[in-house]
Amino acid sequence: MNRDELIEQLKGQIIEQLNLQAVTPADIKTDDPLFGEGLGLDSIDALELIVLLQQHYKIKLANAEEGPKVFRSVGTMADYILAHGQ
Amino acid sequence: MYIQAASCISAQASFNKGALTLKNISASKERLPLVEPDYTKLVDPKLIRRMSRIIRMGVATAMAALQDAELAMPDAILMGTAYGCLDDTGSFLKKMVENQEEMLTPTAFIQSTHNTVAAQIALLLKCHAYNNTYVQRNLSFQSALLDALLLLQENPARRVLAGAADECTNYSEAVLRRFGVYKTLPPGEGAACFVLGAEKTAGSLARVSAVEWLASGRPGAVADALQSIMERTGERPDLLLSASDDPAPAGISSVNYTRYIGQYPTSVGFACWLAAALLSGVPVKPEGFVFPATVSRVWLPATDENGQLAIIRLEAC
Repeated sequence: MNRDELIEQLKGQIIEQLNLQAVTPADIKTDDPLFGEGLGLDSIDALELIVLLQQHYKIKLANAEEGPKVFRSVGTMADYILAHGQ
Repeated sequence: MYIQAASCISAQASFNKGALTLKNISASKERLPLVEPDYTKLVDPKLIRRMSRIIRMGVATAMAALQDAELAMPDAILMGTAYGCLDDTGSFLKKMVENQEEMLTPTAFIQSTHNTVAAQIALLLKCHAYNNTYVQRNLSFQSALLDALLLLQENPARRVLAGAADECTNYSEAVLRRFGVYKTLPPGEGAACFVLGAEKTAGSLARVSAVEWLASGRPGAVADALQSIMERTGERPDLLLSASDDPAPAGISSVNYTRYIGQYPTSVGFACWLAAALLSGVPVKPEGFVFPATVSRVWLPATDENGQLAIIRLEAC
């Protein structure tokens, strides 16, 4: 799977995992921040995203300090998965 | 104690204001669909996405009652629920089994507790006041109401938000059907919230004169208890709203209100809302039953399987 395909897949998974009603994959901009502005996610969503990485990509975020960098946007999540996915 | 505002979500259009016809759904075998409001008009859509049905119902009725009472911040939040957040509990347990206790999502876990509804209301209001959830099977709402009475006796300046909520899920329906719970009437669900105060306000709907508790443990106890209260107080209800078809004392009009909303443990919340509506003069017409021409006193008797008995007594104000 290339980066663009992964990004599209991730957008769908994020919508499903976080139950983002009335949000479509097209509404999520690849480089927009997921937290604060943009989608306005919060700390519970951060935990949901960690579980998403584990469930779908078998990636365990070992270092909590990496979180803000990895989950900054859908684009950074995709880059992290491509670099660490099995 | 006065009901200063009330809101209810049920299988009838009880959330709407004004005249209401209650459809008799007792012939239905299926779970009754709720008549729900547009929740996005009451709660931030970003927050709704994490709320299961019981939380939405509870929060929406709480917000509507507070709005009607023009109360921004209650001095206490009290809820009664028998089963709590069943849907989230089921979802959490399912994932726990499927994922072999690993990779569990936090939302279902956080929201699988009984006190989630009262907690969500407090979070939305940023209310740090007394917050309590009573889990006493089908006498849960009566417990919350009793706590409200005590809080208002202690400090009459308080204004309290009290309510009841229970949801029906595929799991709970299947299990309870096996136990024979829905043999006579279909499953239901719903929520009701009330703003209560010691002072009568211009918009007050009814007065709760007492929440009486008795322990008898024998059949026929309701009729005896009602007779005993009537003799002790010299009062006589014009109407009994009950979740059973138990016979009422002679000459008193009585209706099993669950034939309009289905069966769920805290359905007495609906009965309390209905009583407040009738006592405040809202025209309510139930199919297959005629309310007395004048209703100025309504009593709500309820029992649990252990012979506990609670009677909420309401009157016009």
